[in-house]
Amino acid sequence: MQAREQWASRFGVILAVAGSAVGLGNFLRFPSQVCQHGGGAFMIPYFISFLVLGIPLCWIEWTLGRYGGRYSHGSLPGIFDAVVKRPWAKYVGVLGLFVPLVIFFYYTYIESWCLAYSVFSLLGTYAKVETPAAMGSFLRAFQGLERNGYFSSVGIAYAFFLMTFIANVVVIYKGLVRGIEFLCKVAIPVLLTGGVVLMVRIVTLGTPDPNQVDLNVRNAFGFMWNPSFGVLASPRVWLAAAGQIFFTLSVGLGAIMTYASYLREDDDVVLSSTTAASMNELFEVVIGGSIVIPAAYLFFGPEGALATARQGAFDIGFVTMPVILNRIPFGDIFGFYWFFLLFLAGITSSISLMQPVISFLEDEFGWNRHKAAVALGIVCFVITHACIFGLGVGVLDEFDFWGGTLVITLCAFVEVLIFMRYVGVRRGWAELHRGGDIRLPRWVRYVLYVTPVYLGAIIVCWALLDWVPWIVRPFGMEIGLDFSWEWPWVRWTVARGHVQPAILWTRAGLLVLLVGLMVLVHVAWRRVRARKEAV
Amino acid sequence: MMLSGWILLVVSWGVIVGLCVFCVVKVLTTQRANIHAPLEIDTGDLPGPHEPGR
Repeated sequence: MQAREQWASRFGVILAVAGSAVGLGNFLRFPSQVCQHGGGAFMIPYFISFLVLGIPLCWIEWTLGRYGGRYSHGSLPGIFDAVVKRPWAKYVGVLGLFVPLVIFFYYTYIESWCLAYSVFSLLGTYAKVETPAAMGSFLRAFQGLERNGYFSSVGIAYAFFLMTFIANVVVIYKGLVRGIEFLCKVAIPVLLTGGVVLMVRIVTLGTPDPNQVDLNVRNAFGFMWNPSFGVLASPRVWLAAAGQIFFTLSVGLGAIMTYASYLREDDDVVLSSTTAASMNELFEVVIGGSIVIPAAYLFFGPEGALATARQGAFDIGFVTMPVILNRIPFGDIFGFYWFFLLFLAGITSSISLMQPVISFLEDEFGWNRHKAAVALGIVCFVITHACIFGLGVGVLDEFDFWGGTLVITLCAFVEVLIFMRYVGVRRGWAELHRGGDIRLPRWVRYVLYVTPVYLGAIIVCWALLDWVPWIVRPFGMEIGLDFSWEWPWVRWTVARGHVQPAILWTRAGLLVLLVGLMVLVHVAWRRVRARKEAV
Repeated sequence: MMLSGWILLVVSWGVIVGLCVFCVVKVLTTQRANIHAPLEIDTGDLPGPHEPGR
């Protein structure tokens, strides 16, 4: 068995985990969530979710990861096997391979849009596009969803996808220290600097249109932060806050555990995990919250900003922001900054998505990194084509639902349950503090009891409100569910829709992938057993 | 911008920046053996990568 890699520096692993967490959602999703859910009042459930859900999940993942690394396991099947010591555990751990892989399939494609738009900004490709509607048309043509004067095919998007994909594989190929750690040590400071520059640019815009004095920076931040405390009575707001915290910290992916598995047995995790999480929050609340929505308010007014927030993350990033950037002095330079910043946020996240499977192939099959990187690269390259050419029929959204929404949440829930059942709070607390550079107050450990209950309640709510309607839709059934304060507390509507064969085929493909990963786990463990018996 | 908006903004930013600065300072000031990976320093007492005997 070859020796496992180790991080070259402590800051390297912190920046790598922070880089994994800081993604497009920090800059695009967070501000729209704040805007739609009560402004500053949203921060109350947000911080509660951070304390009860986000930080404890990070501690659990870092602790389990470092524990698995002690037994030369860096991916969830091996870590669960080492912790649980039951044959079924490794198969449950397949979730930790499935999730990052499925997200990687579509994430690199979206990441490539950021790279493409940063180049378009410098070249002035969209400089004459003045309205969000026209920019939407530009985006659809770029994606190959329609043909117009901007693009006649998906070719340009495909070229940028190739560049992005190769960049990802090269970083992974170069290894933990020379690839991932080096990239994150360069990218995170650049991301921070670029984010602050953009933030300062927005804050110093003053009153861009002298004829509309109300559209000034002070009112823009007021639009974002003035609280509507009444919304806190809505369960939807609490769910949105929990969802934002959950998805922003990259928990449930297996990536944090894999990164932590490269630590030494007595390396600190408690301070490192808290540092990485706080860095992510800095990018999200301070920088991410100060760019998109305030800028949208300044140029489109309160109605336009609210409409922007409701558009969804992609439209905010690729439709609204280019139009805004076209209207400010040196917009081409700031446009390049904005999209390159998103690209850096994306690539530091996407490389972390490959790492759990790379670690699995290295640790359980004994492959070297180069062989694992090339093999995984080929598989990912082939499957990503489904997202590129199936974008119009919803393949990418389907990947996002199963990988990035449903299974990721279940995976995090399973992690917490296994931690509580097979490690326990007392032992887990001691393991968390092994080699720790700070000591958390003793009462904080009781929060670990709340985390599975909180996450379980959220899963039930998401299942009822979002997951069930999504799952049945391609079968030709439209179900609408919502909460009510009156009995029976849940209201639902059922209608007939259209059967979507492309989506059903996509699901069949994802099921084959899941089963295939289980078979790989089975083969890996059988080989290890055969090797032991031979010895 | 209302006073309540300012309070929420300042408290939110303050908590996050404060936590982040505290953690980073703690990481930087804690004395530890930070170098873990094998050092690639040519000490001159070993044959090079292309020399026989390596």
